[in-house]
Amino acid sequence: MARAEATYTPSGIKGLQTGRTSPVRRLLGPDWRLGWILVGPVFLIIAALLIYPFFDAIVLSFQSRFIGKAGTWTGLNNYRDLIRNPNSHFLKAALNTVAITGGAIISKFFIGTAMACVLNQQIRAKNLWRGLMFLPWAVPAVVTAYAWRFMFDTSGPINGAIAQFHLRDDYIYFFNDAKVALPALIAVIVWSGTPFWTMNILAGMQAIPADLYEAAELDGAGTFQRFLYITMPSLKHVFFVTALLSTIWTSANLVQILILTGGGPNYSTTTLPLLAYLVAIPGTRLGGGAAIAMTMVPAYLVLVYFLTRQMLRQE
Amino acid sequence: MATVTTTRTSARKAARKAEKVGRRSIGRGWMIATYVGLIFFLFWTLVPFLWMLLASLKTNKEIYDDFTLVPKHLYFGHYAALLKGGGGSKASGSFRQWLLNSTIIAVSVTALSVSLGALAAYSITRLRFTGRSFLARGLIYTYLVPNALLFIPLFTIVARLRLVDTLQAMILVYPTFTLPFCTWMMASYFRSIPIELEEAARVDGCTRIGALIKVVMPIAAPAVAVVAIFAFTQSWNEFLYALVFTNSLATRTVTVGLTQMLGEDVFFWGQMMAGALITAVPPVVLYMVAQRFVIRGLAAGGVKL
Repeated sequence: MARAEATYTPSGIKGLQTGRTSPVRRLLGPDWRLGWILVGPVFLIIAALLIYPFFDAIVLSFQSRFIGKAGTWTGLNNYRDLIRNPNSHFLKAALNTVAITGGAIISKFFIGTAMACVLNQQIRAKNLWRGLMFLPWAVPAVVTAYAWRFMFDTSGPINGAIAQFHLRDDYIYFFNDAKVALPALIAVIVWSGTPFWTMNILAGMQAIPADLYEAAELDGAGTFQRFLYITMPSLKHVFFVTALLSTIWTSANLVQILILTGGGPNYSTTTLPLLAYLVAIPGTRLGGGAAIAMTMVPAYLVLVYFLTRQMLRQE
Repeated sequence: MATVTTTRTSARKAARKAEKVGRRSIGRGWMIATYVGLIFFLFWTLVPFLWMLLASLKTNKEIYDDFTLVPKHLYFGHYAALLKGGGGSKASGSFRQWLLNSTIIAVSVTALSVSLGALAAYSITRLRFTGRSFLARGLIYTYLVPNALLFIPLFTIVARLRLVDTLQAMILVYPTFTLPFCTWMMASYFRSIPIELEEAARVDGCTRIGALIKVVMPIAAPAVAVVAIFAFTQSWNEFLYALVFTNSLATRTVTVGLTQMLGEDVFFWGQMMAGALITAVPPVVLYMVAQRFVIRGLAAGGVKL
């Protein structure tokens, strides 16, 4: 087919004004065969290992199923158990997910904006600073978690300073006390996730037309006013998309929590994805874990709906 | 790595604008605030890395007993032990194996993602068939599905295929999170390449695939580089799937392997920090190399996210 077309004039290659349109070609499009052959591998991988598992998880969540054994249908039992059984720690984990994600997103917004403002100025060696500040985003999450686990450890620098200068009577055991563990964890998540915000906000700032600022300057607007009335409104779209993406990723990520606190003390830092992992893999209750994961789907659907609506509107 | 910019303008135009924006006057007070902010943010970003580096170069005595801030002599024993396959603990003896495993997986996944992604992207942007806009949109949705929703059913699939505790499990599953972005990124780059170039090649007797390989791919080199680096680093950094799919020291990836060092009674911080820094090297180096590439690739591709 491709060969035959290649002999036409350039304008003929593009189109299909060839006269002999068969019903199949009219229905499936002129290049349907090659088109689907080329898309095929990607389509198959995504269908088999992303779309199918998603629906499989729904099925699993209605089953009682242990690793290595066949499942039995139990209807809504897994879900009922989450709510009725206090030992499921479900409500606690749901609240933790909201608290950690919410706290992290708000902090990333402020710190990311401040960082982008700094990097948007004419400062010396700007590219070097920018490269360094984006490092936490480039390294694996496991490395981030390790770095901070050591920072907070009794042999780490914070407790080292306490011992050296006798700042307190005792070390701070960061991950033994829920009141300390939760903020410490949020700090780590913010540390590693902020560069993504900075990157997007900075790119957004650089796309704001300079004449807007010039006009404002002529009207006598000060630096802060220009920031408030020009920069921030122009970045509305960037903030919206970044916040939604960051919410999805932050809430789903369990690497740092698993390594830093393991969800403890007493489930006070366990989020829903971590609980799903703990129940399904170490606990071997695949069905129960799937049910926990499924409870996040409605929230994700809402987030993805608004996100894709915004993203596709631009095209 | 995905950037949320909507630069419809060309890269050069954006750069010129940025220069103009940057040049506008801000008062001396704001300039001081900027430098204070710069120092604060550098401190906040770099202190954990610096501490890791220092700890990795100290002897255990310096870490646990002396609390020295800067090591008196640079001690490379932790690095040497890990890379030689020693290390004094059961887990750290496998460190070399983990590095090898991660490399095999990341290279395979990158090759798959770039080749299959390029074919699919070409199909979506250049060929006409029913369902192609549906496929293009579907990519965005699949890119957004969090792995926390998928690891449990994927584990059952991997178990059914008898791939638990093999590297193939990761090579099979990782493309699910690299392919959507890779395909979509290359598709948006392909759209910016004038179709006339291909048509000219095809008039000269090139097939469609020939035109893709000989004409489109060379022009799309920056996008291919971005996509390859994305796929490699994402695969290298992945943790959750590798944790769930493997269970013996010999098949762990380096990210999961590191956590195995935590399971032991005493934490050898020096060795653990050395291991973590070695793990961070490939993504950081690629990120440095890619920085220009990434920005050029994203700007020229007019990526919209």
